[in-house]
Amino acid sequence: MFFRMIRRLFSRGLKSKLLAILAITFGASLMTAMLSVTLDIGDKLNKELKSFGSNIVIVPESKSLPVKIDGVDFTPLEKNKKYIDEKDITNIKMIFWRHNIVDFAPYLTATAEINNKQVPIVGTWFKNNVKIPTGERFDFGVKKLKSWWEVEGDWITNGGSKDEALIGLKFAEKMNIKPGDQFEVTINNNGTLLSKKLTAKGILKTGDQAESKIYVPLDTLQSITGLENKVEEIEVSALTTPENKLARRAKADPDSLTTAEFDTWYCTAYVSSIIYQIEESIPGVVGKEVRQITQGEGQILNKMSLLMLLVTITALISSGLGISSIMTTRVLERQQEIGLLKAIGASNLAVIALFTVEISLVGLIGGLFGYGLGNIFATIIGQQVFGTAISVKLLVLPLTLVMAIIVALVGSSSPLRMALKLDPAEVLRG
Amino acid sequence: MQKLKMFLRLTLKSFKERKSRIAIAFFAIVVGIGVITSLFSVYYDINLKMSKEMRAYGANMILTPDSSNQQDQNNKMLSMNKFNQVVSKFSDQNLIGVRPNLYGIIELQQNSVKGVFSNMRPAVMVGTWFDQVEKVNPYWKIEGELPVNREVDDEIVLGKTVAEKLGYSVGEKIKMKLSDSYQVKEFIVAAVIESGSDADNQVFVNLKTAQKLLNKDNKISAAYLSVLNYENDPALLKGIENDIIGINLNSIKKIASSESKILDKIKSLMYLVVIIILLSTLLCVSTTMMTIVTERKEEIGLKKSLGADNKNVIIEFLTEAAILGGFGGLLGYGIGYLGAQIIGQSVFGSFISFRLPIIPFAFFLSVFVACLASIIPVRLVIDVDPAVVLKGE
Repeated sequence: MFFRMIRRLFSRGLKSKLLAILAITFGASLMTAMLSVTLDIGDKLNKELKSFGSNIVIVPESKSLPVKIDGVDFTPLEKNKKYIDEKDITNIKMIFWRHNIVDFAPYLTATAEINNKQVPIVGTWFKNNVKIPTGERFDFGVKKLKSWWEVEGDWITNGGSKDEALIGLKFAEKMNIKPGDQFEVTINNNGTLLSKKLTAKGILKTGDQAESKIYVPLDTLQSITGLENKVEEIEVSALTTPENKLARRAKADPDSLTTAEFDTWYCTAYVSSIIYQIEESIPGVVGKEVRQITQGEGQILNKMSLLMLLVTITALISSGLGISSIMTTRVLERQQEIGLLKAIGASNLAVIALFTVEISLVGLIGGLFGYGLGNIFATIIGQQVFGTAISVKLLVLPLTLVMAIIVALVGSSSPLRMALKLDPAEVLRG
Repeated sequence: MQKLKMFLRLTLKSFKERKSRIAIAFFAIVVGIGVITSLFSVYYDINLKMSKEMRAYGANMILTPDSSNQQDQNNKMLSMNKFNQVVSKFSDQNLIGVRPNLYGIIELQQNSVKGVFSNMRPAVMVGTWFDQVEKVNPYWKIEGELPVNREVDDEIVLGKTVAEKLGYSVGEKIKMKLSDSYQVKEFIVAAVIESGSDADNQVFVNLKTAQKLLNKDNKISAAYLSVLNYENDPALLKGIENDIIGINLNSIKKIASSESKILDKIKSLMYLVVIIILLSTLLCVSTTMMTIVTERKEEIGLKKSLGADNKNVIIEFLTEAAILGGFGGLLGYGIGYLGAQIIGQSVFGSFISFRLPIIPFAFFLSVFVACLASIIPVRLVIDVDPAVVLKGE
């Protein structure tokens, strides 16, 4: 009998429930969309924040103290200068958090002379297709790492001529070099002068010290200077988790952690643990955290997550309200039906059971539709803002359904109680 | 007159007699408009608030001497006079901080335990204003205390690498020698800073002290500025460069261009989120209104059988909806404004600014939605035959 009543309600009374289902659908879609976006916002923004450039710098361990003013090196010449071996670089992509390594670029710097003017010359990767020890291939280099660099002319491409260079804007203006021009660089290598003809492929606009330098492929500079397979510095861009207490303690003194704490720290993508892992994988280097990037990043990520959380809460309030107010009106208008049920002998409990099942079903149907619609909204947001879809989190489905049903039940509970208290005779008389 | 009185009585009675339903509709409107108001207030402020947060990345502008005519070595320096002129071009509100720098190469004494023989090592000395560090370089990790008083001349701040490689810690004394003279000066290490950039390899003293030591009174080498809201006005930088001769004022592209990219993303994210919430909330509010009107089918039938024509019924329902929507909208605005302040305080630690246009917006939106939501169901049932409705089932 109970099931028949429920069935009847849905076959005959479906039209009248349409509005309720519609309201729940919209409410639930709002919940789904906001929850999905909030759960994914950290990852998405973290990727966007990579446009600020590298957050880790790797240098060889050494006792020397660099003397640099605005990128111009005054460090006295030293013997036995230490370098990083180029073949070790790809180990960076082999650490525990390898998937969080977005990009990196190695650097080797020397001082060159062009037409008797001194200029720092930097060898680096522009967009090198690199094979890492696992056999996978990735593109690494400054083109992606320094997203704010603009080149007038062409970028140096992987596998192109080795005798190409990008000229910093300031130096190019001073020397009147245009894209396509050829020029000769002279490098003083321990007393022997070495010259090489290079072609200016493009003019580099960066808005910083790089504008008064020239950039050539790493192996070109290595062969001119005789520092084969040597690298001075590596800049790494990694996706990281904002620092917390544990990370700060680990940074101050890794030995103070217990084994369990160490494992947690090691297996979380803090800057400090990524640096630790890079130092493990490349011999004789120290990693430095670029605090300008990591601190700023952490702050922006924390603020945005909090903001989205609060916005989601307001969205939940608004959708909860929509659902519960429509349920209230639905129950209110069925006072007569409740009176009739009671008049023919239904107990309060039976009426409550009937309504609970019915409302839950309405909530479930609306919740399912809403989940579908909400995912569409979330996808639209992801595509519009970040160019990639928001990843669908399975957690959201049960969460949305349960919330939709609970809110629908809560919304109908007080009018139901009111209706049950009424005398059937009074309601039915009209 | 008589008619108006009757009309008012009808409306008033309809509110009085159906308290619980009216309360539900009112509540739905208030909360719905509240949510919309608070999100809109936050949305209109998000650019301002987030660009302030972006200043966590520090300076976004650099002031240097004009390098185009380099014959004169003196041109590589900037006078304090010009520096002050540039700074005065920015309003106090927009200028978060400014830090002038004077560079020089000096020699520092290596700290040796035995104190018998210790060699001097070259390093870069930077004269600066320490009170501006927290605004221009908020990301520096400072151990010890910066000499924020610009007059202090016997304290020095070491970069982390310098401190490590020379073996000094906070509170110790360090001897400094100028490269081209035999003058030796002793400083107390006030703080050690860590930044992960070149600053780790430098030592810092007060600007005045550096000017005196390097014999460059009233000169600086460069200045870093952290400025709000200049992206909207690209002519501003060029204008200042034209006004004050012999300077170069550039935005630091790394920070500025990435910043505007991120800000655009955040803005469009908030825009879409607010629009979706707006639509859903309006739909929820209107479905609630619609159910409430639909159940008044019998009342409409009764009114028609008493001689009201369609127009009268519609006007009556519209008036009811407008009153409900109007009051609901205003109250909703109040609640929404409070909600916006809660968000502003907990996320940004500052108030969301009051924007007048949101009040009429909330009011009219609320009235419009209430009217629309009641007129649709009324139109659906208005042509019903009174007899059929009143007969009941």
